[in-house]
Amino acid sequence: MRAIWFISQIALFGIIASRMINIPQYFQYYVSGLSVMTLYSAAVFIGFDIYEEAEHGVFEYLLSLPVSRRQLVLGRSIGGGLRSFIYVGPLIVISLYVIGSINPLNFLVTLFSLFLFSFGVSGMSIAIAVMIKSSDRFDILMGVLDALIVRLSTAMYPLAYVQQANPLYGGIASFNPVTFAADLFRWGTGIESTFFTLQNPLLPFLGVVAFFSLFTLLGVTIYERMIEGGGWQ
Amino acid sequence: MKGIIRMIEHDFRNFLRYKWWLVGLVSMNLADLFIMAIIYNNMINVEKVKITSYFNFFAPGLTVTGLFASAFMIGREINMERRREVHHYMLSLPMTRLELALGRVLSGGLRGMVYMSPLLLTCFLFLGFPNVWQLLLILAVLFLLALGISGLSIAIAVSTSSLEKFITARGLVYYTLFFCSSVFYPLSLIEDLGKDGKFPAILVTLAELNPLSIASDMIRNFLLGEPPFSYFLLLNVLAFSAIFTFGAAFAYMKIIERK
Amino acid sequence: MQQVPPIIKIENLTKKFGDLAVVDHLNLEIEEGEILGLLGPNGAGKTTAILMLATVIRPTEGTAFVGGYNIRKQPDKVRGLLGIAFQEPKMLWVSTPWDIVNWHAKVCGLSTEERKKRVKETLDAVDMWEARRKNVHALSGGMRKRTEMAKVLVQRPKIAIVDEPTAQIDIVGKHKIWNMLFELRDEGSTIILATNELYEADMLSDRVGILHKGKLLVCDTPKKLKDSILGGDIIDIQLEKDATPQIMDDLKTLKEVVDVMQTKATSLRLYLNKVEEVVPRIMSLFIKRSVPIKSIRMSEPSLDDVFAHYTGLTIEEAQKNGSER
Repeated sequence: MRAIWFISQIALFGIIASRMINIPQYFQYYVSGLSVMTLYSAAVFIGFDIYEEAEHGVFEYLLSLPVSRRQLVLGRSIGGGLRSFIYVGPLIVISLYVIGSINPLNFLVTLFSLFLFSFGVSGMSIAIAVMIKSSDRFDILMGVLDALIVRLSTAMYPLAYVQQANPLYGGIASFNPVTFAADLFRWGTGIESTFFTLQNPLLPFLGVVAFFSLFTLLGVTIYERMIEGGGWQ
Repeated sequence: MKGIIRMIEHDFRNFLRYKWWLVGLVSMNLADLFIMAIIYNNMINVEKVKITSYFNFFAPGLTVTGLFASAFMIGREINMERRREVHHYMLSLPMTRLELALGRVLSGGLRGMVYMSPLLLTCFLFLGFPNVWQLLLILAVLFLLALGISGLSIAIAVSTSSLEKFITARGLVYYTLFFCSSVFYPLSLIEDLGKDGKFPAILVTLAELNPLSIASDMIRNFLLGEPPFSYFLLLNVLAFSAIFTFGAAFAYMKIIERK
Repeated sequence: MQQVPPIIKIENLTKKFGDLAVVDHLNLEIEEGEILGLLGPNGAGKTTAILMLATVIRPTEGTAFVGGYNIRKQPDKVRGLLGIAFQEPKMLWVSTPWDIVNWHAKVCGLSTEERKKRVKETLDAVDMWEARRKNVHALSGGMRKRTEMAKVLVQRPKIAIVDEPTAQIDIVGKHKIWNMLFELRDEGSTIILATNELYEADMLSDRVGILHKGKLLVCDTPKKLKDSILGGDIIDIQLEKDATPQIMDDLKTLKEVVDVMQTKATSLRLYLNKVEEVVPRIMSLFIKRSVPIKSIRMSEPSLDDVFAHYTGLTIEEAQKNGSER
């Protein structure tokens, strides 16, 4: 379903909307943002898996293994990120084909950043899942977050336009990890325009690193403290 | 008749239980309108598309997408019932097969109407209220559209046996109808792309005949004065609704009894 | 005196999937007010037969008359008489027990007042009142099963079909449900009970029909089924002193006695029928011959023995074969 959504976004929405938008190369801009949006939604899924495991009793089995809680959560976080990356990999390849350009060295840095981004998102998802311990509330929160995080970022539009529309939106978008990932993706693929040239890739890169570090640490801490004792709803 | 009412009650109750899905959809719809549409306002090529406010343009389209998404959901539930053989229980109930089938189609459509109502009201609040006749026509057309969408979704759900096939079929139909319409962009843009050879002719025709396009453009015409709209096009919505309401009811009756 | 027609009459009812006859020319009459047990391993065709009676699936051949209505020609009327508790609880995970039972009561036409009263009583009776607002996905297998049963109990249909009603339920729960089924019968319902639990079939059923590979092998009261096994009843007699050949010959003259074995000098094993009728005569015999008895142990064949007698397999062996089928 996600692959169909991705392809229809490129083949239908992307092509048609770029005609409507007064930004050169908007199609390429949108496709690159779409890849990051898809990576985000795939990485978040690890949180839903945790509820599935809690429901079927697999969780208790995992907790009984001769593996420390820290190793367990790091493994889940990295596994979730890696899985989403592999899943979205072919879609990223399609994006690269559609965008038509790539700066190999830059793109390697981009790929590494996207790895960290997806691990960070998985860590965030795990942290929230374990804090809430209610599948209904988790589903609701992730639905709301998904709607806001993606739209309040530069995945679909340059930061200048977001700021012009509403300074608050611009403020949020400036510190949004999806913004960092999307901007780095464009820098890596060499998409250039007067509207969205990334002056200094170091800043978003540090942003992704900070996001990854924060949510990996948070995920580990919260997981270790709250995972035992059941109480899953 | 009682059987139909009971089925509507059953499906409405389940609809409200999917709180997480509803909240997600509401968030996405509101975010699309109050974030995306507002930002897009400054990005639109006004000369090309003749839209002065993308927010105003999009609001009616959002109403239709909300209706579409919520009316389409019934198919997913029916497919799940079939896979888990919960439909055996439905088949054992003291009601006729026709009541059961019509009840499902009607409830899917009504759910779409209920979900869409606050979005339609939001649209009116920002774009102005239509007159009584226009309002009645809008509601009637949206109801027919909702029935047709519900029927289409049910037809897909009962026609596919495996989960993978269902997800694929559902995704293809859903996103093609969704994006190949004038919900997000003017129909003229799609037609121009077709004329330039950059968009397949079949998809251009689909967008023109798409009942989502017709419903969105009708609301825009009533509230914004454009694009031009012909009442003749409403026959399309009527045909879509009739075909998929009765087609789906028939398919539901025949297919779920099969083993 | 005019004979009351059976409430259900099944004629050559058959269901085939490809070449496999899952239900093979079933012929059966069910009397009003009786509890008919359908006993057989998994794969015997019990559930398929039930689903055909409930008009959920269409027969390949044959038909049945439920309350005088033909399941093929008048399915809507048939469903008006039936209530069914499925083997696997049929409910969406987002529903709650209260939703499920309350809605079922509405569909079955109960008035508001009656419905409110019965829903509470029924959920209480199956110990689901406390959990009535929990989502189905949060319920255990036994709780879902009890909720499934509650649908039939709240409805009190003319004909109740219950498919493995106490699977996944603990022994206390089983007894509660059995008592409720007896009450349902006493209130006038006819009950078709599909089960592979021998004790349940034996205890609840007025008659038991044994199904194997889609065919109905035999249908009679549990007692008659057990008595149909020649020498199925067993008496083990422990004597104070050695048994004499004379006493053994005397025992063999009793017509119900099929065989007598001397397991030890002072122990005898008798294979016979209708043990409850023969024991007094056996006692008289021993008294007459002045042979003191130390102890007597009697056992009847089980329905498993009956099943083995008719199929050549125990129900467990048949279950293994059924799963392959």
